Amino acid sequence: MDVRHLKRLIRLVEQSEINELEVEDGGTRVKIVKSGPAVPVHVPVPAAEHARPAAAGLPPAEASGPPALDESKLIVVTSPMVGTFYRAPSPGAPSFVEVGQNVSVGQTLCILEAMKLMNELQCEAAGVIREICVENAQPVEFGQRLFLIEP
Amino acid sequence: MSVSEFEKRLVGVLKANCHRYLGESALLVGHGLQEVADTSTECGHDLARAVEVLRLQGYEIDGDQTRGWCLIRVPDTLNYLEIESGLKTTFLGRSLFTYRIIGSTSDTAKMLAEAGVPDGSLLVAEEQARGRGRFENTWYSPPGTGIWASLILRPGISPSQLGILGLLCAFCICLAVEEQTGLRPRLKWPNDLYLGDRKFAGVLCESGIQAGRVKYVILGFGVNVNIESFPESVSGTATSLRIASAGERVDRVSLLQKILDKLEEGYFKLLTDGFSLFLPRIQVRDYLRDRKVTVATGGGETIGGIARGIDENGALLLEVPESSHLRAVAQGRVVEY
Repeated sequence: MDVRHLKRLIRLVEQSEINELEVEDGGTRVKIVKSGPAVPVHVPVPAAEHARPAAAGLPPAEASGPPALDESKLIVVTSPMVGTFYRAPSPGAPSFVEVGQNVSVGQTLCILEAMKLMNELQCEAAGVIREICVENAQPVEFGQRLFLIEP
Repeated sequence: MSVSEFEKRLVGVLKANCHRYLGESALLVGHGLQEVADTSTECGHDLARAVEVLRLQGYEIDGDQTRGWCLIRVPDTLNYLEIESGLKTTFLGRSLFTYRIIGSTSDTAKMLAEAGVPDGSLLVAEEQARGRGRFENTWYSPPGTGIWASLILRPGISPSQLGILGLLCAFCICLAVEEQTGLRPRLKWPNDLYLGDRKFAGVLCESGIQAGRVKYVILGFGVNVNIESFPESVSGTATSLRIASAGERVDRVSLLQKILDKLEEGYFKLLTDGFSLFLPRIQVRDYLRDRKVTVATGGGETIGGIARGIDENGALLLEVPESSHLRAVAQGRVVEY
């Protein structure tokens, strides 16, 4: 089975309501399974990223300012490496994602470049992009927050 | 495309008997091809068909069923049969995808990686319609003159350790070129290869990261092997192995096999012993060493200094004014040197 045919099949599954497709062609069997959950489910949030003091009764740290996003309900995507943050595959190209956009598991969020290594950071949970925390082409540190996603 | 065991064996026998005509019975019985034929009752048919398959691959084979067959010339192409025969690696290139023409090996590699092809899969193309450098800088890659390839790796390392893979790949290309041609290429941090002051090869790495885990790495490399001349716009900055060897043609298949061999050895060493081991041999091939350089580190910031080698994390060491310590630059591009 050639790659173009495979690509077509993958697109077919992507754009359809079906979650799974298995085809056999000339002795080659291919099974394509949608990676994202079909319906929104509860997505576990990595504990470390939401470690906040559990002291009850304390007032919220930021009392003033615009109504902040309730971060306990958001997924914080942090940088797994030191690098440069790029929102698009090349200068002038449309960004991978925008605020307010729906994203699915496996979707590319940004590129992190380190030593000519282009790393595609892929979405780990489906949701809506609520905030993009870094400007395009800026250096980022390990652990720095990049995106806030509402599942 | 898939190549049968029968065709593989047939090429081997024809090569070993170059310029001699071998008839049906000599091939099937004398050289044992019968054993690997699909249908033992129709071996003769298999043979004629296999010869046609080889001819389509570019092998010049004279003869027919009555006269027997004789190999005249092996094609100068990076075809499946040639790459596979004589490959010494255990996993790099063992799953092999060859293309006559492809959009870009990295794009297809990415798709195959997502589809779950085995660790060490190799894509090779004779021609890239859209050869890509970094951030889609186009790379001059006329058909049949170079090696344009991408390896799919699934190393169990953390994303922050990925940077050294490109450096390692460039270093291994250096070693392979030295062995094959006697030339002494140098390595320009982080992953370009130079002969004199002209670039002849480059490495482009890409990876997919999800939930802090490396899903795959695409190690793409391009080597200008037998390009005889370059367009004026790049002739001052680009070269090929052939130009650097006074016009002598370099065997691409054997160079590719050497690159894979060195890279597999290096990759295993890197995973078990770490990167420091390679440093002495990389330092002596450092193109930037002791040069005044400017590095753009992202966000519009630049650092100027004198290049003083590479550290154990693969970072470029810079001697900067007003500091007694060398500054390690892990991220950036050398914009002036």
